[in-house]
Amino acid sequence: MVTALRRKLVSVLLTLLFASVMVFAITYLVPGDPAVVVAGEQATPEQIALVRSELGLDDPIVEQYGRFMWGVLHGDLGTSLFTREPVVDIVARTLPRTMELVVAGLVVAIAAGIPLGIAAAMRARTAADGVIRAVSTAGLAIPNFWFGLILVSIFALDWAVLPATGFVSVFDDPVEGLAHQVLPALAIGLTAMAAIARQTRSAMIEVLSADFVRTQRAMGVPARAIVWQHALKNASIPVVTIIGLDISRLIGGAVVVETVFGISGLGGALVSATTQRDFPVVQGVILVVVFLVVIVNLLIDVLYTWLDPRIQGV
Amino acid sequence: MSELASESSTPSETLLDVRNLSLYLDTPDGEVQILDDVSFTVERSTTVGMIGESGSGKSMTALAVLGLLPPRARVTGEIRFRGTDLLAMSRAELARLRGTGISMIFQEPMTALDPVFTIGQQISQVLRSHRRVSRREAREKTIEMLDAVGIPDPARRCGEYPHQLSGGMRQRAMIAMALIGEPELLIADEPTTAVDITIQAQLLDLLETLGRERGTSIMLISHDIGVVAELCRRVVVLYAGQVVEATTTDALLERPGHPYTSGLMWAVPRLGTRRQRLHAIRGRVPQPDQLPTGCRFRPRCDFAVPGCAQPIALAAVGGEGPEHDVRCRRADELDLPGLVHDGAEADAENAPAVQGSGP
Repeated sequence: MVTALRRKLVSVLLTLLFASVMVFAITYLVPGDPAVVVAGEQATPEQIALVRSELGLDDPIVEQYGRFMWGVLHGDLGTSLFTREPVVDIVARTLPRTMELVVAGLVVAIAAGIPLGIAAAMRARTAADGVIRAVSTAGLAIPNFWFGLILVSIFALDWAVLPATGFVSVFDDPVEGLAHQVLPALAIGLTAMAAIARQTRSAMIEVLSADFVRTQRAMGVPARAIVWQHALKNASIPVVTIIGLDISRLIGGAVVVETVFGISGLGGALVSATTQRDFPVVQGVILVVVFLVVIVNLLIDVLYTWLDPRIQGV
Repeated sequence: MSELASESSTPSETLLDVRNLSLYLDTPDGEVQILDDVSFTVERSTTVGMIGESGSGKSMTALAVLGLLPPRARVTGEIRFRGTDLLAMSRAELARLRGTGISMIFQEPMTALDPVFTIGQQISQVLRSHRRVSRREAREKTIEMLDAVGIPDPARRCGEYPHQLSGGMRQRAMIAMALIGEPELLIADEPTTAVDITIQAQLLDLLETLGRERGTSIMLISHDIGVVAELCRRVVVLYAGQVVEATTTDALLERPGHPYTSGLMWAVPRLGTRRQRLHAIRGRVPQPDQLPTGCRFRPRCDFAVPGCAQPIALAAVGGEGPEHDVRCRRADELDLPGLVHDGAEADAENAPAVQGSGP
């Protein structure tokens, strides 16, 4: 268990190291010279050269990477080329909104997806099962930004019951926060919900035909306990795997959905930084996202060992 | 619950009375009959064995008694437990009965136990499904029960998962799970098939002891006549969905009335015989949709005569002695070899070639 955990941590560190190299390399892989960006289109070659040396872009690549990593490890992700605002501050301002949105989407996806999957599994091959499967197939096919626009046009414009745009944290104002987050959460959570429902359905169907379910029925364990405790826990491994993948997708999907709902989150920051070629911001934001995804995956692996005692360590 | 309790005080000594049980399964090719007019009884505090090859309908009979048949099964007849017909019970009543009235253990304890819950959790959940007890009390009772089924260091084992136990220990844990609700009838479906022969003997001893101490009736399902003979006072032999013979174990071993039963006995390899020739029954159990007319064993039987193609009912044979029912036209004229003669075991040498299918 301990050695397995250690091995896992080593692989996490290697992943992060690799990601940092890729993120650092963005400066060179993406067209556009940061020095030109900073100095402006009208700048003379001398001015550009000056900026280049100021930014340290003349130094050997290894030295530049070392300086980049040194900063990262000390919590310094550089400063925006335009606003001179530290990237760490930009992340600190936008990340909580994105995370709140991702968590809200995840809550919607899990709270609806798992019961739908169970309901379909228990009525397998009936009309109700067919409806749930059709809905989840549609859910996987519908792009979340389009679904978001539909939601806005119905609930915000036609019926005017919910706000169309903007962001209020539920921690600042629970009522307003919920009102602002319902539609984005639905939009962002739809795909994940569909994926979770499908996975839950197939896993539950398999588990409910297992021998141990028959044993428990033979010994008088109530159906409710068999389904919600035993079958669900046994079915949870593939479902948790899907949820782990969905979290990564939700973080990615947030970028688009934030734009639809006018939420200035991490996604918005990334999009504007990319169009402006604000390399330090792009690098910082991507690094933070990679870090989050890696952490989520690590937590999922730890969760596996708790869910299935047969898995010897992560 | 109170209704059931009052039923149990009836003077009848018959605990389970299965009468004319027929079972049909809905298949893509139409309905297929799996059990045909199966009748047998289990008396209070006794042991009954049910023998037959795979596909004979043993497990289906057990599942029918528990009301755990697949939805595509249709049942006719009566299954009376403590005088009440189980087939007329509601789902909820049946669920209450399972675990406290009738319980069942299964063949493969690795898959028959939930892999992601500890055995302690699984056993105490059965108890808590039936009785209002606190978690602590349930845990104490679970440890007691694990101790009673011979699991060493029960307090520690309680917190272990099925994969951490040996096959024999898992089966003991399942027995504990089945008995913690104090059922009056325990159905054991091939409980020793998946374990080593030494463990098998221990488990049979354990079942015998627990049954005697707790007054639990046991219905043991097995393809192995030796296992049944070890534990059971009475035996029911099933072939292709029909009871072909029912009597006491002693009578069966001494003088089997049906060629199939006799064949089953001589098909079992034994130690201590000088010649190791086995008398296999030729052919295989017919598919339920391809049953021969008349006696279903006829195509595999060496004693078949043209009259065997006529339908044949289960009928008493002998006269004096224990009741002995056989479904064979020639039961009275055939003198089939049993395994025991005047208390001594027969050996292979004086075993007549029952099935005649020598090398």
